[in-house]
Amino acid sequence: MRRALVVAAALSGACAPSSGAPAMTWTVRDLFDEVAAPEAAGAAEAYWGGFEPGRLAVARGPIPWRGAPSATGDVEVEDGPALVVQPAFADGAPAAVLITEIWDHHPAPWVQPSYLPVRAFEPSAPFKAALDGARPVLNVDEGSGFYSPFWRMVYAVMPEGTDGASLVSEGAVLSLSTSLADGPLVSWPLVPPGTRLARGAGEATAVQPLTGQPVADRRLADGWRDGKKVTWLSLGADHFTARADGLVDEVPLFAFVRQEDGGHREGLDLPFVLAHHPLTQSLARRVEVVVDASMAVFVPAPNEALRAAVEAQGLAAPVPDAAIPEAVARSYTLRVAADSTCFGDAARFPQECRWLDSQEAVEALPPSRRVRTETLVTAATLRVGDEVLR
Amino acid sequence: MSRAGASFALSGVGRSAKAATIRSERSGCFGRPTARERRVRRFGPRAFALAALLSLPGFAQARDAGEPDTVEVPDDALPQGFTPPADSSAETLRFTGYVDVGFARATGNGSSFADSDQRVPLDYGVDAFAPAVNSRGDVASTDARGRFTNGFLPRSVAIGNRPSFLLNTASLDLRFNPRAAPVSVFVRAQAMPRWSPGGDATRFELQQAFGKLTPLSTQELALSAGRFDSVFGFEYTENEANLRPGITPSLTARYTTGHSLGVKVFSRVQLPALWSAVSLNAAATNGGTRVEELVPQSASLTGVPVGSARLGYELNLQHLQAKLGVSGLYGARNDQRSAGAMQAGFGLDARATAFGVSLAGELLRLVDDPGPLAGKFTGQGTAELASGFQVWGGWVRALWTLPWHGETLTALSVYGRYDARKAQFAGMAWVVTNRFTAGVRLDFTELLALKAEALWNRELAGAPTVDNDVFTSSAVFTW
Repeated sequence: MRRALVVAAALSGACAPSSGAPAMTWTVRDLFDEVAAPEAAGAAEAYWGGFEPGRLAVARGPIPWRGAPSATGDVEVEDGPALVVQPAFADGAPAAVLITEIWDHHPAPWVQPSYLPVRAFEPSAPFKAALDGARPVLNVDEGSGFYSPFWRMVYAVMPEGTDGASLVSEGAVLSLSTSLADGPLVSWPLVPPGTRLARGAGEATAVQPLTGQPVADRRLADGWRDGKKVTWLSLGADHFTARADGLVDEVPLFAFVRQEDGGHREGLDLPFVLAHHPLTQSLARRVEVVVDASMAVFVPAPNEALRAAVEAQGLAAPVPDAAIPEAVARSYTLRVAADSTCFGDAARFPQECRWLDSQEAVEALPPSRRVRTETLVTAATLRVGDEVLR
Repeated sequence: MSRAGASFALSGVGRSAKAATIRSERSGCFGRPTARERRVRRFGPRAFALAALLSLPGFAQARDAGEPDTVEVPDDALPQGFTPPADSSAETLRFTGYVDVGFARATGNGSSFADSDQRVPLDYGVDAFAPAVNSRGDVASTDARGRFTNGFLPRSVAIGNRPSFLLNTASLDLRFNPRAAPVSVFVRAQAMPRWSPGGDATRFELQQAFGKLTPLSTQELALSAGRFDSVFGFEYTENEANLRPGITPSLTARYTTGHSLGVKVFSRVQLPALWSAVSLNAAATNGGTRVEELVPQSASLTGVPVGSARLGYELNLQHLQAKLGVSGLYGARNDQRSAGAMQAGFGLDARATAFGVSLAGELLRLVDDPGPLAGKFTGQGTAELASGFQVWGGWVRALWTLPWHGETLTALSVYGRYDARKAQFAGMAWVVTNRFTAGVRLDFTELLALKAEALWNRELAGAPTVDNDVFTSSAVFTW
């Protein structure tokens, strides 16, 4: 989609006035291109719909959220580029989320079909009837404005004797299939081959960067798109829902921001707050939550470097009671409180604070504190508390 | 009409010059059938073969209605086009027109959409224009059954697979052509009665409305302003049912036969020693050359006009007429609002006519940049995104007018056409289709043409095989 970016850049210069912002889509491939050579792209400080590419992917050096100042220490990425697991909170618990696509001022994505050629449709175990040599066949790739990581698996029953390896385009599958049967909704962001989650040298898996809880690496799979091999990150089945017309349902993704003089909103390096039951929805709209002077960010007492970094963003990060157990403190690191009176008393921590760590809590703020944006993202929740994406 | 054309129209049938310049406008005016009889008597069957072909109402008018065109032919082989009766040749205000009544049936569900196709957008993965039923390119159905489409659709007569009579077009032409001034005005208003599941969907359209200035009496030079025909290729000359030899347009007509709003210049230089002429037809318009179903023409959405042009060569011998053209277009695509998203096209066309046989064909290459802003705007409404797009396409046609005629049945022609199209929206599969068309046409004087046509559409790649063949017929009453 970089071409769209170039066009948009040109548009903002010499071309005729437009009626609005460019409709943009950024994919994992764009993220990797950006972090691998930000100078070449001329957008080292770019923000894509409010998201900083360098926080979502890393090519070399410290892993964002895990480099200094961090909760888990300075960790260098091994074999970048890689996707960075993002810290978040959901339903009052620490969470880990992966952002793979960003749509800004762009129509919301639709579910696209992914055809799996099968010998026969076996509702109880459809994959076991997959045609020998056949791979899923997709309709669209990242070059289309209608690219979507949200797919409907469709089992395409093929006549006996069909060579599965020859089915490399949806036209062939649709023309040859004798019947079609809908399967699950699957989250498959297309990615460059070899894509993985960022982890440090010697680490077995990626982790939630603030709590250190492990996050299972995701499997890469491949298939066909109009005769060409494509690779995707398998983020599981039935982690989103869609309307009858195919539009994917969306939920909010809350991002804390600071309101600057003149109305500009500046993004803050704080964990996102996810919607209720985030494992059930993966398309999220960025809703910016404007912090005010009454809010404070929890930083464990010993981590002065992190506190300084938070305060450098203009946020309050009062020193908490040193008696707060480390395990508890770790799970509240960078959590925002609308009322931080409990910070100073281990006996009252955390129950007597009013935390902004759930959709319900954020939506209890005055509506003027929340700004709905024109940015949608694929936010695949990898972990919420002890519940892990399967 | 140019001064040269007016001169011919006034001098008409009876003049004795060895060659006459036929200078045409849009639309057809038909001459007197007795002219053909005179030619046949004087020159026998061979002369008649050419004359019969040229005098096919559709064929003659297609040529005349075009570029605008000048054709050098021996006066004895002159067609009857543009030979108004003497008592009307002095008129400066004339009304003509036609009524196209059709009867058509499509197979399958009348559309190119397979019931099982869940791809998004649905119209990106098939050729929705394939099951055409009339000269406007309307198809039997575009019913997507609730599935998402994104503005790449023809208009529909909404008959599905049921045989139905259709009033394809009722067309009224008004021409103001003062003899004393080098200015003319042409207006074509059309009614297209239609039904849709939502009720009556009849449309009225001012398809053309332009003024034309021919400033030089000694040069073929015409300047037009308003809404007029495309200048790309030559299929646009056959847009109207009474001008088209067959019934349905080609698979690439959607890209080249639109009616654009803007300014146009036409110039031609005759090379009498070579029985040849070269011409240039160039336009700057709001929307370019695509049909209004795909691209709005009545307003510029980008503020930047689209340039298009055709450079043509004509060879006009007594028994052989040949035309070659190269066309191009470039400008901001007008189905979105950014002046930075361009469209570019290139085309070749050729026609040859000899001894009752006409061969014709076009080749097309077109590329669209993606629109960087959300929103896609067409003559049928608003869609989501103007995607990047590219297409290769072309067609060839052979038409044979049988060397036979009668008092009532004045011409009988058979024809066949082969179309091929390969198109891709960015990030999606190439859709490769082709089509075989066969038809017959009977002319009963110049007032009535009966046409019947069969279309066999085939999906070769990228699109599911669907049953979307068409039988269609048309009775065109011209007045």
